[in-house]
Amino acid sequence: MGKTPGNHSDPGGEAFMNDLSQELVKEFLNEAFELLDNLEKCLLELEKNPTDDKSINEVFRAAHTIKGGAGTVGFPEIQELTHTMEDVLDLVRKKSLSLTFPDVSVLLKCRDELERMLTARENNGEHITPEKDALLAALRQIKESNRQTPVSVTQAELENAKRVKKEKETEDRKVVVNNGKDIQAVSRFLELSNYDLSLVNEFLGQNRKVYFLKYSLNENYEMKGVSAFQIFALLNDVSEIIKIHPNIELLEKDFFKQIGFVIASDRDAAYIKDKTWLRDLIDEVEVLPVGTEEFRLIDAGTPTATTPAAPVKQETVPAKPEPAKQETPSPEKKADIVHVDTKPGAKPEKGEAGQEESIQKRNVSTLRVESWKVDELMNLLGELVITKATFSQINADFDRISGDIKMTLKEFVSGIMKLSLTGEEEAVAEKNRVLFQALSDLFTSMDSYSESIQKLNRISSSLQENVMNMRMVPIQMVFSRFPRLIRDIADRLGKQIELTIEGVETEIDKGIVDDIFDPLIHILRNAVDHGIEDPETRRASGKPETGRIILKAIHEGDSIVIEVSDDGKGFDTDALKRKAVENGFVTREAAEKLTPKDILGLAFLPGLSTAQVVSDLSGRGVGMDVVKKKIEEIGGNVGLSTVKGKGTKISIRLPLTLAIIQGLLIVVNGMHYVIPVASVEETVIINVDDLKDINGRYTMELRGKFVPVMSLVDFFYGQPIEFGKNAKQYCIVARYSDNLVGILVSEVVGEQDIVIKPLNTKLIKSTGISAATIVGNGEIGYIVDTSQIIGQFFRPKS
Amino acid sequence: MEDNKILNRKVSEEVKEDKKAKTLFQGIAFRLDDAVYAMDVMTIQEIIFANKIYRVPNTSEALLGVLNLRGNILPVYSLKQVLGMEDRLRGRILIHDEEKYIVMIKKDKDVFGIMIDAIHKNLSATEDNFRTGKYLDRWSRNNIFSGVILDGDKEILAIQVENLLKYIIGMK
Repeated sequence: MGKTPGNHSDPGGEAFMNDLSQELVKEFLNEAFELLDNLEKCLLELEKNPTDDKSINEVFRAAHTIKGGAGTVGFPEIQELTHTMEDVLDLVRKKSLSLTFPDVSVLLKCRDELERMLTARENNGEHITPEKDALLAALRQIKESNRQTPVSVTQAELENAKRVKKEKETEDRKVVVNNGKDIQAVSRFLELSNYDLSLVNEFLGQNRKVYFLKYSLNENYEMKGVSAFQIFALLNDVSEIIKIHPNIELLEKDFFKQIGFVIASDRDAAYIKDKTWLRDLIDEVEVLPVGTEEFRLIDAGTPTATTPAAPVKQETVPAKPEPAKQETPSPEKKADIVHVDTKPGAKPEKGEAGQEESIQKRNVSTLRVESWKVDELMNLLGELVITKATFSQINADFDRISGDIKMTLKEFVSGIMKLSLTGEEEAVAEKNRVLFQALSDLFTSMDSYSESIQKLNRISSSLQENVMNMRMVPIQMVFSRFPRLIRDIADRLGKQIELTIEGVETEIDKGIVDDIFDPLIHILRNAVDHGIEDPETRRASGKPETGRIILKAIHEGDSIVIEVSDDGKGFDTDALKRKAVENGFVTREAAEKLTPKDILGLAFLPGLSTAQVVSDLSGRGVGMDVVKKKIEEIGGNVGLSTVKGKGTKISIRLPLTLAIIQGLLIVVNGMHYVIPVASVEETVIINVDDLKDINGRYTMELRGKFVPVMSLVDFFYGQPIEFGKNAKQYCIVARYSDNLVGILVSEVVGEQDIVIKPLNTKLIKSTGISAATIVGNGEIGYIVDTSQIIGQFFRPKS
Repeated sequence: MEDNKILNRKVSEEVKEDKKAKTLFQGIAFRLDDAVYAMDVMTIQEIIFANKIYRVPNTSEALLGVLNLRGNILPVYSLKQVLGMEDRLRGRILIHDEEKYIVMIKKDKDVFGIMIDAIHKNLSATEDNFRTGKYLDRWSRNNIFSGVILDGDKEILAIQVENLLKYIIGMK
């Protein structure tokens, strides 16, 4: 303790240590932030049910793990706070203390402070404020209050607590391992597999010296997390490492008091011992040479190590505090051993150990990848999709050309057949036949080329799907932050609210996560602040005192729908109408004619809020319009429905992904444009001369309905529609809220995967264009923002 | 003789060193029609040969369009139009086969290009030939210049990228 990281007996390893510690710090921070989320979730759970063992254990585990990590990387302020939290939680865990609502609040504040500390550390700073001392004092107070849990403690639980305490004492005692111990014990500790043994045998056969090494590491060493790796590095210099126990993956995750190696070396035991003796890191080392004689012994003894025989042996000595307890090789005890080794004084209960094991298992099958790497992959995939489109284009050209050639060739050859030929001409005919043969070979290979293109298409689509999937994260990432938020706001407003979250596993593109967070906060705040009434009002209107907010995410086709519904007072549509008139958004006459749906639409106008009291939470007249704008920016839309006195439901519909879309590639005035397929209802061909001018707008008749028509050439290039030429043109029918609008385009190329290339919207402000793309032939195309062009089309005349 | 040459070169290098110590501006000077302007070399990401530039509809005419630079779609401006000069490329839907250079500029996260007619030379300025402040009042749009470099009988205006960017963003 008190040593600075890197201050150890091996001066040459300084740089290595620094690199490693950088890595460690990063890992620690990542893990700690995740644990904080979990901590919060469980604390909120505890608030509802203060005796929930699972949550208590989780909270304890989180605090404990952060403490351990903070110690390893040398962040004393974090260590101190988590340590004190752990003290309190330990009492709770042992049922000698029960938590009250204010206690949980203190713990939640601690969590926030930890987050600030971690964030500061992430930015290479330190966050140390008086707040910490206040929290520490508050924690100690809780600890000393010593409130006994009202729940009766069973005898078993008491015994359990005693046992835990006893084991803790045992743990505190200095562990001494005698040198010259039975080699079989060490080999059991090493958990040698048959494969390991065969390797050992092989080395012995080559007359190499084989050693079993067992290190007992100093658990108080600041950088104990890397001790094992330092020893590993040193051993690697002087020997061949056959086995390391526990394996590297486990060592990377946790600190183990006892580690073992099997090595083959040409050096003698004393040399190896000296070479790896790092005073600060190691308490005890055993170097046991293994000869053929010993090997036979081990080989014979090994199978028993994994059979039930070993535990029996272990059980013969349970009474006295056996110092070698940690070395018990029994695999079924392993989870416990992990605990005893890494976390002195934190003997977990069986259930928790199992849980932890399952968490560890989960970790192994998950790969943490920095998001920019996936983004890079996505960019490359974009290039691939573009190249694929180029290939398809070339293939289509080939097809067309080869069709022409085939046709001509047939005529040509049959023409030649009919001619009566002289000798010299026969030679020419022969050449023709060769040419004919060569060409048909070419056509055959072109056919297989086109088959390969099909294959490439398939591979690229499934690749696309896979990479997309990689970018998908559970919406839990967004939702997990809300229970706390709701709790805090409700607490401040003196309301009782129960938040139900559904569909947390619904997956959403990582790119959207940040964009939907703010809008959702706005909506939830609105629900708590204006939706749910205070308990008295609710009681008076015959509702349960506790208000309900349901946050739900579901997949629906190509979109994700997020719904926030509350059982509050609903929107006062009359007040909304009045406000709209007062603020001059609509005239009084127009307001009277509005349909209920139109009135709700008013809620999204900027500067309109029906809140009676302007609070610091919401109701300042910014909110719903910002929500709408933000959601539309990422290609989604917002809907609102409300019943006065019953509640409000707001639903957000979002596209699944933002990187590649299906688009209809069209040509306007020689330039490529893309209309997202999502906004296309159908494509029809019309005769321009059939358009009728109704109220200053061109209109076509579509299955008996009149549909207004706009022209893209007119919109983007100011070229009016040319009449009188009996010209047929494509007309794309798009939906805009409840209306259909026809969009005239000069040429439709077809439906394609479109890679979205974002435009710097600060520099390029173009009405009607949302982004760019690169089309098959390498040209730049623009992605049309249909709702914007249609909105613009309707605006000036309405 | 040989020694002398080496010595001479050394001396001239030392003189150069001396000059460098007081350098206020180091940049690239380029031509727009007959006028010469300069830009700080540190703000220039690269200079590329103009390939195809696609006009973006419904945007300011000073924005010539966008180009595809290694998969990124980036805007290209007509510096001539920004400075109030005539640009014959104005309003073209597609610019290609033009023997022009584009200076790609990076300022924080914004990357954009400006089209120039030709590169003039590398240029550095010291206290002796760099004028700022009131001296700039004679020029219009002088808020986008950081100073004037006196280069022989020529006055070369040095463009300040921050202000150019601000001006561009403010354009309609």
